[in-house]
Amino acid sequence: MRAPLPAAAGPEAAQRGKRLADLTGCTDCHRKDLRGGPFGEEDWLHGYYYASNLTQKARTYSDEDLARIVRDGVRPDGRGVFAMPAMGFVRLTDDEMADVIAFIRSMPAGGTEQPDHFIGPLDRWDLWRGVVNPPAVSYVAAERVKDPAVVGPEHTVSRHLARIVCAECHGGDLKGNGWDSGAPDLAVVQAYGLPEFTRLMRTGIGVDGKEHGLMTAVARARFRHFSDAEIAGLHAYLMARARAPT
Amino acid sequence: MTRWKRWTAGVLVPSMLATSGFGAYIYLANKRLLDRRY
Repeated sequence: MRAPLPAAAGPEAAQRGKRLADLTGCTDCHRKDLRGGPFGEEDWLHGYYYASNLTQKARTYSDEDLARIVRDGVRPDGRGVFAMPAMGFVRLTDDEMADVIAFIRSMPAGGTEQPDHFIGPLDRWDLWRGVVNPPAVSYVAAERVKDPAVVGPEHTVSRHLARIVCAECHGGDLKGNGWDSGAPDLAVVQAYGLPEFTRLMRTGIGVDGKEHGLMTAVARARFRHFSDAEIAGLHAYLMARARAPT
Repeated sequence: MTRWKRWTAGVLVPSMLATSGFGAYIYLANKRLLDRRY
């Protein structure tokens, strides 16, 4: 049982929460207005998936309910959430969680409830085979104990940013075992100088001058919310991590 | 028994039963996973 969340209210907390929601992808799937909608380019064979309307959910869910959904992958009725990646969310601190909730509660309620997911036959087959991610609750405990290397106190803030943002695709230890099976170990950063890394984070264009699928999409949607200092800090941390003896 | 009746009884119906049975098994296995309470 977790301790109660710290109280976070007011425009500053909501502003910090909005930034976190942008960086971690809440506003990607649940939309800028948090009223949700369909996501992914799916069809009846794979399924139709819907991000819920958080402005409606927040009217009935307590702060603890919302935190449990995000960090533990469990709904108030005890069922696991499906199709919401918790790889990075599990490491949100209590203060960060409180800020995100303050942001959710600051948004005006509106829109309609989104439908339940329709899981198509091919995704059901993959779910049975274990090749698509199961409900988050089944992996959050294992994910929570994975952490990227500690390489010095000067990298504490950037390491935490990597833990909560990069971990979704690259895994909690950043070794490339997260939500996206094609995401590499972030030791790959050694091929990037700071200008190339900044270009990757701002535009999604890699050091080879090409787009890189999901990384490109995520960079354009989320990473533009990083400041230049944060990008430089992330680059410094990832370089130090890559060069650290294992 | 005509050839098409033998084919229906020997191949088509068993195939349909096996496919729908396996589909039901997958559906129920998914449902058990997704409806589990934590």
